[in-house]
Amino acid sequence: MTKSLRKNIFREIRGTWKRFLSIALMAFLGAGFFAGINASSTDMQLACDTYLDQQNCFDLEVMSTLGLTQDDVDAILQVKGIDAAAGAYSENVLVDIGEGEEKVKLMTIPEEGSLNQLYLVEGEMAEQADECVVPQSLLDITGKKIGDKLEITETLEEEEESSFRYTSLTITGVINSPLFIFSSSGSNERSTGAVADYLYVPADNVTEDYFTEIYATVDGAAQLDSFDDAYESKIDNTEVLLKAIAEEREQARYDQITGEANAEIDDAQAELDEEAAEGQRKLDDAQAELDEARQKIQDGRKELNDSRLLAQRKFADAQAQIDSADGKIADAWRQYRRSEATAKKKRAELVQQRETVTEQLKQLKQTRKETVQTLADLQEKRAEVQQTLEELQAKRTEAEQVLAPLLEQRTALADGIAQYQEALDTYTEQLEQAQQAREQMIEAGMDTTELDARMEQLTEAIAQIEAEKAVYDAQLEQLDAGIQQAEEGIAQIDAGIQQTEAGIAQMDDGIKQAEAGIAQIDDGISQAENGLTQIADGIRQIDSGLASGKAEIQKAEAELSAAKRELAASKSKAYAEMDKAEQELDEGQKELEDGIEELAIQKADFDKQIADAQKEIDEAREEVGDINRPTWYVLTRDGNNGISSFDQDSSNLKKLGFTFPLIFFLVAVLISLSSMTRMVEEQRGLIGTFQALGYSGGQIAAKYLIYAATATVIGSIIGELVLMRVVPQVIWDIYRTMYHVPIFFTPIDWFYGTLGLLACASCIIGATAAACWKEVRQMPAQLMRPKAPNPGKRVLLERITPLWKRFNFSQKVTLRNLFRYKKRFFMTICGIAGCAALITTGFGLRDSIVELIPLQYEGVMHYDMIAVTGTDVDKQEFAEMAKELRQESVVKDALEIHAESVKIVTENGKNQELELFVPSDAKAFRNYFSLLDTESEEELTLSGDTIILTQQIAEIMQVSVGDSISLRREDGIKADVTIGAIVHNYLSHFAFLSKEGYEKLYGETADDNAFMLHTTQTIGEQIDAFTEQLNDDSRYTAVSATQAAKDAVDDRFSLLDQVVWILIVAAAALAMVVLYNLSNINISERIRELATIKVLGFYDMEVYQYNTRESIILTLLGTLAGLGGGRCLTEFILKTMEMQGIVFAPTVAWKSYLIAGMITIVFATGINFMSYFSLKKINMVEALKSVE
Amino acid sequence: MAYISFEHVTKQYKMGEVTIPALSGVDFSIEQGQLAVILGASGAGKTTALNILGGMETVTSGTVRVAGRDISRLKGKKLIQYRREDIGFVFQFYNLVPNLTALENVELAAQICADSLPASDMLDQVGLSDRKNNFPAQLSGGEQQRVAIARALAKNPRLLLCDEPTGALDYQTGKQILQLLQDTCRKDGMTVLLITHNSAIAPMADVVIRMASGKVTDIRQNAHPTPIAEIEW
Repeated sequence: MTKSLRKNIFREIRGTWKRFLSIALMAFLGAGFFAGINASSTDMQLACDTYLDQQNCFDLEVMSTLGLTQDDVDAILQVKGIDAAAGAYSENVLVDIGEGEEKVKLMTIPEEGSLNQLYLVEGEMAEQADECVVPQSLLDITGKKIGDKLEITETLEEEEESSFRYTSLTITGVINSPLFIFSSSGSNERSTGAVADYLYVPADNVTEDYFTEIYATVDGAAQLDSFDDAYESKIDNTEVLLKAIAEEREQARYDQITGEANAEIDDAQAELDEEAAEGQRKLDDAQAELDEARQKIQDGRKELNDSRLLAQRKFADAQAQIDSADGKIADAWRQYRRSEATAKKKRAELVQQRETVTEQLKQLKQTRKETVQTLADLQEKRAEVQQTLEELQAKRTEAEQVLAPLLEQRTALADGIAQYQEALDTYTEQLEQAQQAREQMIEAGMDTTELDARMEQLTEAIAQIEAEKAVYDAQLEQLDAGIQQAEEGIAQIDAGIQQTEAGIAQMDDGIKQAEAGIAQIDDGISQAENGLTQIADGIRQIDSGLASGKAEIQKAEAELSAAKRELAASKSKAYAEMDKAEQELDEGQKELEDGIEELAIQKADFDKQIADAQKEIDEAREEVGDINRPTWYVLTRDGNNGISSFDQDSSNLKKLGFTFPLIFFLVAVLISLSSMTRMVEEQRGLIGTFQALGYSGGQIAAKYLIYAATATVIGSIIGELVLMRVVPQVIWDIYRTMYHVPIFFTPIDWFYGTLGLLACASCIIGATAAACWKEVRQMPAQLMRPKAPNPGKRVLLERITPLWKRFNFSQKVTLRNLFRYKKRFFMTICGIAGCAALITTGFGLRDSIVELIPLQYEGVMHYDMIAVTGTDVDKQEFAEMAKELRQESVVKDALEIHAESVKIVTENGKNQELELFVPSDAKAFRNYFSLLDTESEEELTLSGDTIILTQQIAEIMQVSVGDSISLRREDGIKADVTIGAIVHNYLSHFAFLSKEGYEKLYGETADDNAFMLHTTQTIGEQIDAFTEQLNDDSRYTAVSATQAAKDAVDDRFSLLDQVVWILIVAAAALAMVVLYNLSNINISERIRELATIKVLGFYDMEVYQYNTRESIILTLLGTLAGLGGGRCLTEFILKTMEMQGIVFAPTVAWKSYLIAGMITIVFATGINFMSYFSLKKINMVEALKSVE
Repeated sequence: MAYISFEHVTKQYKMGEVTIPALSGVDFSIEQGQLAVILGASGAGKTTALNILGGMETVTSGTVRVAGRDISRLKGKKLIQYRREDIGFVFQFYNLVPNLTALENVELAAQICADSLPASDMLDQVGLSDRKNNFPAQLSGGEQQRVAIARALAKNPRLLLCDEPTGALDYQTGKQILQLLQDTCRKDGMTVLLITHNSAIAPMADVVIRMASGKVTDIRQNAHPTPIAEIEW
């Protein structure tokens, strides 16, 4: 390679760093994610294996029904292949957790260097017998910390001694145990009564002289991967050898235990006999004491009777004396009453008199009062009349004064009138004269005028005077009337005065008479008062005489009653004393009787105790006789809950981790490939130039190959280095919530690393080589000429003229563009569809996982609990247990069934162990387990002699309805049976037979040996207690609550669910990168066209739409295809993932399609939107450049 | 007042630290309806001047007026609007959208202008009546350039700018194209500005502007332009 070619490559990378980066990024994601996910489960298993080896974790565990001894340990060490063995003691104890108690497993701390070393997280290992170490989860639930005291309580049976020297333990440190890598925190198990936590104490604290388990390691097993088949087969070999010594050891343990027990019982018998003798002696003593007491009481009674008689006589005499005194007093009373009658009569008379006199006196006083009143009235009246008289005299004077002026006026007036009369008379005379003169004149015929005038004057004067006179006449008349009135008034007043004076005289007489009456009355009053005084004296004399007589008698009486009281007091005192004595005697009597009774009870008790003790001893003897030979259980790590779930979980992850990243990988490669092809095509002119200069095709291609290889290899390596650390770490962080494996490392996984790198590089380099080959093959001149742009073509749609016409101009352009670049069209659709499919698959996996639990526990398995009885329970006992069970308050209903473990064997030699259920009542069974036919989807009822299998077992065995299979019981008896139906079931394998069917197959009835139960509740204290009760009941061998199983599955799936979220996020990231890449390719391919339309004057938005419309359509098409593809991919992944005992039903919820579609579309839209700015930045000068 | 005028126009490109002067004080003017030719060697700045006039670049300083309007200060949408309504551009390499037929290519331009001319008529005018439904790939270079001219004219612009329109064509075809441009100028009264490095073409112009090193070296008015048919090169 020439220097200039190298330079060219280097410059090329610098110049097109965006493209280089995008190819590298694709490789980063594709290879890195592929390697990262795949490495996760390997890393997890590696970490776990390393941890287990580091802690020297057991390979085999031996447990026995009767405990194990050091001899057993020694024997095990002799077994070929066993490397080390150590015994340990464990017991379930209760720990107070604030709200109630928590059952935890207590174990002994292994010796240093021994098996199952604890991993100290914090603090120090417990050294003293009263110390302990605990896992973090126990601290969390108890709220304690290092240094605190932890109280443990044992559930001891009667007379059982504590297995521990100390039950109050100081926490010295936090540890992890390799036996408990499954962490309880965050798990639901607590709700279902299972033992979830543990604690370790030094072996010193345990007083028991036996081991509950012996752990052993196998030679060379630590060097193998615990999750590998090689390990398993090695362990299996040793397990067989270990089992071989079981029988011998079981017998040895049996002999030891029965020997010890019999010796103990003999001791107990001797002790009991001694106790019985001692007890009898005590009882006899008590009887003697009681007899003595009885004699004492009899003596006391006799003495009391004598003293009672004496007292009666003494009190009778005293009573006689009192009675005679009573008679004397009665006589005195009689005498007194007689004299009292006479005196009272006299007194009454006096009282009568007093009343009469008092009445008289009262009347006199009244009369006097009246008379005085009359006198006062009279004097008052007289004063009034005197007043009237004075008034009358005054009036008279007044009237006279009025009259005098009237008279004067009248005189003056009368004078006036007389003057007028005089004048009148004169004028009348003149007139008459004038009249006469006129007549004369007339007769004389003389002129009368002068005379007439004169006459007229006269007439007028007369009239005037008459008028004035009339006025005065009227006044005079009035005046006369007034005078007359006044005079009449005066006369009247005078008459009044006269009358009044006569009245006054009369009154004076009356007054005199009244005064004389009053003096007489006063005399009468003083006489009456004297009389009253005399009468009062008389009465007082009589009263005092009577009173003194009565007082004397009463005194005598009082004296007597005092004597009587005294007698009664002394009498009652004497009797009370005697009664008390009697009562005391009675009490003594009662006490005595009680004592007798008590003695009888004690005796009975004692007899019973002795009898009980004897019975117990007898029973113990019997029990010892009953002790069965112990059974050894040899378990591998599969029997350890933590390790086996870790195995399952990491395998699940492995299965999930292959397909999904593969698709991811393919999409990434596809996109890088299109980038490279594009690059080669872009540079055809350059290729031509190099060719023309004489470079060989290989040399030219080398540039592109090196470019692609550099990008891919750099991207892949960085991606793998980063993601092989990050992805396992993230996934481990999720799993760490469930597993306590304190170490983790992310080594380079060379296998997947190389695989990813090679696959990625070869795909991209191969595609680049193909693209180069196509170009390099051509003649240089051809290359240097501008490649005829992809010619415009009429698309199929244009031929459908009616439809084509409906599109507007730009829609037509868009459609034509879509079909013009077919490669890009498919590339884009594939890219988007791939991402959408990955996202959909992520959600689909979640949906399917989430769906599984309701499918199984709501759709198929309906019972809440199944309890299997031991083989030694006979029919009668089973019936009793059924009755007891149905009486439990938490049990809603129960169904008896026959359950047994069988192995099915097919004709082609496959075999599989599963649980066979034979219900006692096929119809009722439907309430406990739904048999849903996978073909007809109908619910079946068991009948006939065909077997019903669950779905997955049929798939594993590759059998279908109508096939015949062989059913082998544990006792080895085989029977051939035809498959009647295959039913839905998602967890575990089951087979179902009807009662008749079973009988026909084996020729014996399927005796019920288990119960399926519905309980009134599925979680809570009651149900915990009930589960425990059944667990403790030795008649049951297996009890399992559906809820517990469900919770366990739930926990497991929640991990998977979280892992799926990582996949979803990764797919979304890929979608983002793919879309960005596609958008860039699209723009760079058409940059000239876009620059031209910009020059033409398209607005930025128009340019954007011109370019984006295609992207939108491609995105929509791609998304739709991706949703469909995601559904298929989900199904595919779930099929490859199906694990032993679990069937996933591929489900993708509508919501998930919607979300996956939305995510893709949102990203695409976002990227499109970003392209707006890229488009805006396109330089129009590009349009002027010549075609390259 | 001239129809187009450049007044002290400068343009500098900054390439990192280096400043490259493309135009250093260019002054010239062209009257309405004239056919102007800018002559100059490569790098003389003629393309830059054309780009500025076409609204594809901005000036560093100075003023450019078209029909009395200062276009050197336009920005963003206003600038696009200027390109859209006032300018018809003919590229050296035609720049037809390969995916559109001849007619559709013309329509592409016509549909964005308010007072555009019928696309079909424009093709008739450039003599391509019978190739309207052919895609660019099915047309010869001269035909493609005719389509490009039709596309520019369909917008009914004030100004037709041509960047070496005959640069990629053979002699005969080039002449036909120049004839078409001269006819457009004469018959339709369109102002046409053409840049070329081929000085033989100069005689056909009303105005010949010579440029070198970012400056105008000579402006010559040509009272009697030579018909294309008589030009030989």
